[in-house]
Amino acid sequence: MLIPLLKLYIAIFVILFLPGYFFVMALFGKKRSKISLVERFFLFFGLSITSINAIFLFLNFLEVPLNKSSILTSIIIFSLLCFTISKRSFLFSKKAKQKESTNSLFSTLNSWSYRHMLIFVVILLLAVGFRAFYISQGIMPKTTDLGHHMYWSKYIVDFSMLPEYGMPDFIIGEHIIFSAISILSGASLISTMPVSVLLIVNIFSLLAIFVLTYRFSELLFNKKDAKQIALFSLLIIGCFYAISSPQSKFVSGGVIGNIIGNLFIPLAIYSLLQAIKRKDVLFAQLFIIFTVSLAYTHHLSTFILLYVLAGVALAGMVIFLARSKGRLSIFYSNVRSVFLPFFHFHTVITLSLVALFVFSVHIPSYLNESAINTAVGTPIKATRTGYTINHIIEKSGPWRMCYAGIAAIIILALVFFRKPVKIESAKKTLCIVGSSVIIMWAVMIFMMSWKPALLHVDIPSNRVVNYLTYPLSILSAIGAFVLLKRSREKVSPFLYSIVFLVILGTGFISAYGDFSDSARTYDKQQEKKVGQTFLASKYLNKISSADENILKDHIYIEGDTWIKLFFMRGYKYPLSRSFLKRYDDPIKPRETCTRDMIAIPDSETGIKCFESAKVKYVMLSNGKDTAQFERSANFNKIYASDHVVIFQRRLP
Amino acid sequence: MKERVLILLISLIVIIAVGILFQYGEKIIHGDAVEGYSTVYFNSSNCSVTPDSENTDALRFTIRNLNQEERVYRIIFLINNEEIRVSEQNIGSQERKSISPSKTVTRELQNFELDDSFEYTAVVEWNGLRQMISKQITVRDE
Repeated sequence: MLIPLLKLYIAIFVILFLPGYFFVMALFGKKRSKISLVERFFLFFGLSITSINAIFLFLNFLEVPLNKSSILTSIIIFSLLCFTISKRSFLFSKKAKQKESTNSLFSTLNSWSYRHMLIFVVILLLAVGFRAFYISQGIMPKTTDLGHHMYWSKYIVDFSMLPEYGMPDFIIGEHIIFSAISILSGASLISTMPVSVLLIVNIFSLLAIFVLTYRFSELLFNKKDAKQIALFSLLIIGCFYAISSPQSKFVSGGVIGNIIGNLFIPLAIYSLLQAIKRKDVLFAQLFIIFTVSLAYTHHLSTFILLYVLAGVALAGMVIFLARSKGRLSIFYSNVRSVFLPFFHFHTVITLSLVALFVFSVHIPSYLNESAINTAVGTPIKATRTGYTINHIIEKSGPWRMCYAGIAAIIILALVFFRKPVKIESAKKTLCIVGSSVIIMWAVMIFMMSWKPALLHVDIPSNRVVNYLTYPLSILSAIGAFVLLKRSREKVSPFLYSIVFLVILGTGFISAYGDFSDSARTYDKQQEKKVGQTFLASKYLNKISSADENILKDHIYIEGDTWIKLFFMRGYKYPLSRSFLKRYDDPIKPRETCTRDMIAIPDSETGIKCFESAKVKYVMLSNGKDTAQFERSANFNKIYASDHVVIFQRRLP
Repeated sequence: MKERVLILLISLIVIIAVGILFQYGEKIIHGDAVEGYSTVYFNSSNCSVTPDSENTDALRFTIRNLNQEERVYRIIFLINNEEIRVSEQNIGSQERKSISPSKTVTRELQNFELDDSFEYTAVVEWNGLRQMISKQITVRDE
């Protein structure tokens, strides 16, 4: 078992770190101290996913089969190209190096004490430990979403090409990295590999929040405070509410788009903040790259990021208009000074190249009118008309919401009411813009969850509200830290200890209430049932041919969405009986054959359905809706296990 | 220097988490969880083959002949789809017989070590029709 594990490690390294390492080297050079090693490390990860997606799309565009040799060759060529670029930029960087040394204020996390490092490692260990433990309790690949996604990843592995989905529900960035790791390591997609990869992505999204908080806090506080706030944010995002959505539950449930989206949104916002803060063109380019990567990975996350950016732009406009007192020339020069990197020639070139790639190589599958119309508009369905404030607070964690609110007030006070002598004008502008980025990130998602109609958002509110946890974690870290710091300065050590215990204690109570709500007991029987579903699928694949249709039961069979991976005869093969309520849709009439073939197989309707759908085999959960088949003279039981029974239709 | 140590520690935490999940998950997927009999039936038959017990160590099963005449069933024992032994069983009309794995099969099973997983299958054959009973088994300490 060690060799497959070793292969998996190597594949993860080659796919999720190597291309990004060289990409970062090409952008920032090897020895340049523009960003700290920790920042480089999480950029390796984000840029690796971006690079692998681009490589796959480009190979597919050139009609090169996507196999081990083509992938490895492409990664090597890409890495060499980046390495060559990094050497060239390093040769002419003497001037740049001098310039960067003046930027050392922003440059490094290297001044951290061992105490800080120890706290960081302990928090990370706990965060990973909680997640790994939760995931291990349901490790058998069985979740519905992951089953659907892995079909498409297996499609890439089996057919060495990218799929044409034919539906706007899926997007290619959700599937490529799993296929790439599977192709290189030989690891099956029906294994723990997909969940392990999602866990890594989730861990890196925590690191992204940690670094983003540090860089944001630097704007408002001194470096020492910024470090502590960053550690607080890691504690809140990593250890508090570690089980609920969008953390362990999403990892375990295989909600791929959200998990990767929650990595790319902080990366894009980090790049935006850094571009504004440093007036650095490279970060403006990174912002474009990460935003487009997100667009290839998840519809909803992209949609949310676009709304957040629109909110930031609006807030920026209002702030600058207020500061310029209506004088357009001052307004223009203020906007230009802050967003200078985005108007730079290199940024425009990057944007053009990205647009060329999007429109010539691969257009994201949801960029069509009907898909956009389903997300934008006045919500009608009850699930899309928004949550109450209480419900939003409950969903995002009451403790987190409380301290995020306090932080928002503190930041606004710091930015707008602090005496101007203490912050020079340029830095004040940065503070205002940076703060508006983080606050608008939270405000826009809050509004999208609370009053979606106001923003013309027509998306299930329960999906939107999950995105609130990331900006709230940053803000609540600031809120809790400032309260603790002020009380340490103002009250006696005894009272301070009480305040400390109250703030963190309530945090632990609120956060770990989530543990008991979300805890699941390890159900060996359920895992056994999934295993039997897989064995039955293998058997059925062996005896059936592609022109013989199969009907399976989604209601009772455990892990049934994974069945199609054993056949690979199409996304909708085998046919599936869905939850009964789905057949009663007053707005859109649904087909009912998949229901009737199981409920009334020997009726006139049932027989007609069997004939029109050419269904030869019916796969059911043992003892659930099987009686009519046991009694019927038209069906033979051909397979049975504790959990799964297969009936074969007697053909006339 | 400190940053390098930090990066190493982060990598180590990720490596350990992935390693534990992978090893544990593989054990679950290919081991204990799949245990349980599955039976493949004759297309049309008055014969049933059922496990004698749900006990994981029990490899015995029963053939029940519901036909009006005596039949000779051919039984093929397989381990991991490899044929180990073939035997014949004469079962009278309306009779049942419990079939245990022969010495050849039990001897073969002794080659497995603790925590090894294997698939035990018995195919019951009559007149070209086949019925199959199989079970995924993990060797455990007594």
